[in-house]
Amino acid sequence: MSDVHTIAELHRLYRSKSASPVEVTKACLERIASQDRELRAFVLVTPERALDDARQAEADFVAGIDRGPMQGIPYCLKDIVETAGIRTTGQSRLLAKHVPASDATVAARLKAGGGILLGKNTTWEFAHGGPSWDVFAPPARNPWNLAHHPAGSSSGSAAAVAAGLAPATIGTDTGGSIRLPAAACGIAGLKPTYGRVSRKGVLPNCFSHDHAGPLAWTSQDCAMIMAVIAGHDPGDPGSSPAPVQDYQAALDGTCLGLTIGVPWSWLDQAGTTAPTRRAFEVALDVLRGIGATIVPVTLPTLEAYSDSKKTIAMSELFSIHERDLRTRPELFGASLRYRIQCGALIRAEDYVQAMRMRAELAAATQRVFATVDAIVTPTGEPAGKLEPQPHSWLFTQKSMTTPFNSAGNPAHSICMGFAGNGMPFALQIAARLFDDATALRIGDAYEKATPWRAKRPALEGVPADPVG
Amino acid sequence: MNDRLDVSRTEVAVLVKAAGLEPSQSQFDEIVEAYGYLRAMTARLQSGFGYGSEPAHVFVPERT
Repeated sequence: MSDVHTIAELHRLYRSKSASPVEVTKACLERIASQDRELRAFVLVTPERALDDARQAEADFVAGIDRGPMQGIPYCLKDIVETAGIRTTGQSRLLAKHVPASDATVAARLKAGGGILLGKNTTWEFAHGGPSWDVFAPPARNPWNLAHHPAGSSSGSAAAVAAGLAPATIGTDTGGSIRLPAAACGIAGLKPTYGRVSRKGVLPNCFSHDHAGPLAWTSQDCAMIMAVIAGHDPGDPGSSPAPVQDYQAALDGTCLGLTIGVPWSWLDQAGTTAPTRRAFEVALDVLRGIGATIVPVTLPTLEAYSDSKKTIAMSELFSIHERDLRTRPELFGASLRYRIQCGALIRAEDYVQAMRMRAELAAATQRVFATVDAIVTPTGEPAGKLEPQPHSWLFTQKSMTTPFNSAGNPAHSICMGFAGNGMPFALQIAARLFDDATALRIGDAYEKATPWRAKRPALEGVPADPVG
Repeated sequence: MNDRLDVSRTEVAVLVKAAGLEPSQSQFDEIVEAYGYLRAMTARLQSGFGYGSEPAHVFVPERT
């Protein structure tokens, strides 16, 4: 895969006139054509739009117009991000023919920044129900082992980047849906601070916990995407006017001066396996070696964050889909329908108490962040087999990603090495509110101190689907 | 720690009707199973907050 480049590499190649956006785009489209039948990372490829965007980017470079770090960079969008004139389905039969009239803000900013839209990525149904075989399109596969899942819900987004089909993508994250696919696919994925990146035009999952953010091969690439998509949007009521950091300037290749907290009890509560724990401890040694001080911290239990978030999320999810659930329930996949139905049974009192609990959990989290610059954990376990999950998994799974949706802090996942079966381990790095740059800085420094970014998946063998 | 509480199918049927849903038999069975988890989860939600403990979604008029 020697012709696969990162965003940073393409940035340099374009400005030294050593590469052409049109030729780079054609190479991406060729890789998609040859590999995506098996990978299923895309529900829609937009070759005409891509080549139009590429020709415009090339013409702009020739004319001396430089729109910024995403000019000439091919990207894709999770298929819950609305695109003007381009079908956006949410991977649901309910929206099989939905063509938005306008771009989501994040899509508009990438277009204005000279990016090249390759297509729309496979997702779980409405970014919540999955993996599903009874919806608009089948689920994506993991490039490291096509019999394994790429997690969700930004499943196709992460698979596309890991396989080298696109250097950049936008996903969304309500409880882990950028970080877990990034982890499963061995790439970088940032859930920004809540309100840092606009949600306008992104189909909602849970208004109060949804985030849009970048996935890419490296933390530096995520920083370059953030330079274009971050910033206040008056069209998003949750959008923050806080000043945007210079994410790329923060990447100094070290963790010097940083104190990083580890909530060791979370690893026990999440049932972290011995191999993941060992990989995490090795990662902590790497962080110490590049200048970080590691200290233990104590945070509320994972169960408390989970109970608050799930009560709120299921209520909001039901409010979003209640009319369709009552009038045309047969159009939902079974996984999402189960989750929406749960929301119908939650009392208003429970929702408010969950919101009061959220306020207290968020305050407790920020009190800990007052003592450290960042908090790290494993993102989760290496990805398992791609197969239907029991519905009760919604309630029984333990997550170290959800707390940072509850509290709103930025949280970034990067590759932390590989398990014995070749599947990636991943490290989650959370930082203070609106200090997304520190999370990216730690990720970048760790990546440059380790060999993991040199290894790409081989994409071999196509397994039979577990569901016929 | 109980991840799921036993629930009454009759109670669930009342809640489902009140919500305006008309599930199939298998879907109703799913809802009964889910409700057991839901009851356990909401029972764990913190209570006994003071009068000053405001929820995270307090209305901020200048945002409108």
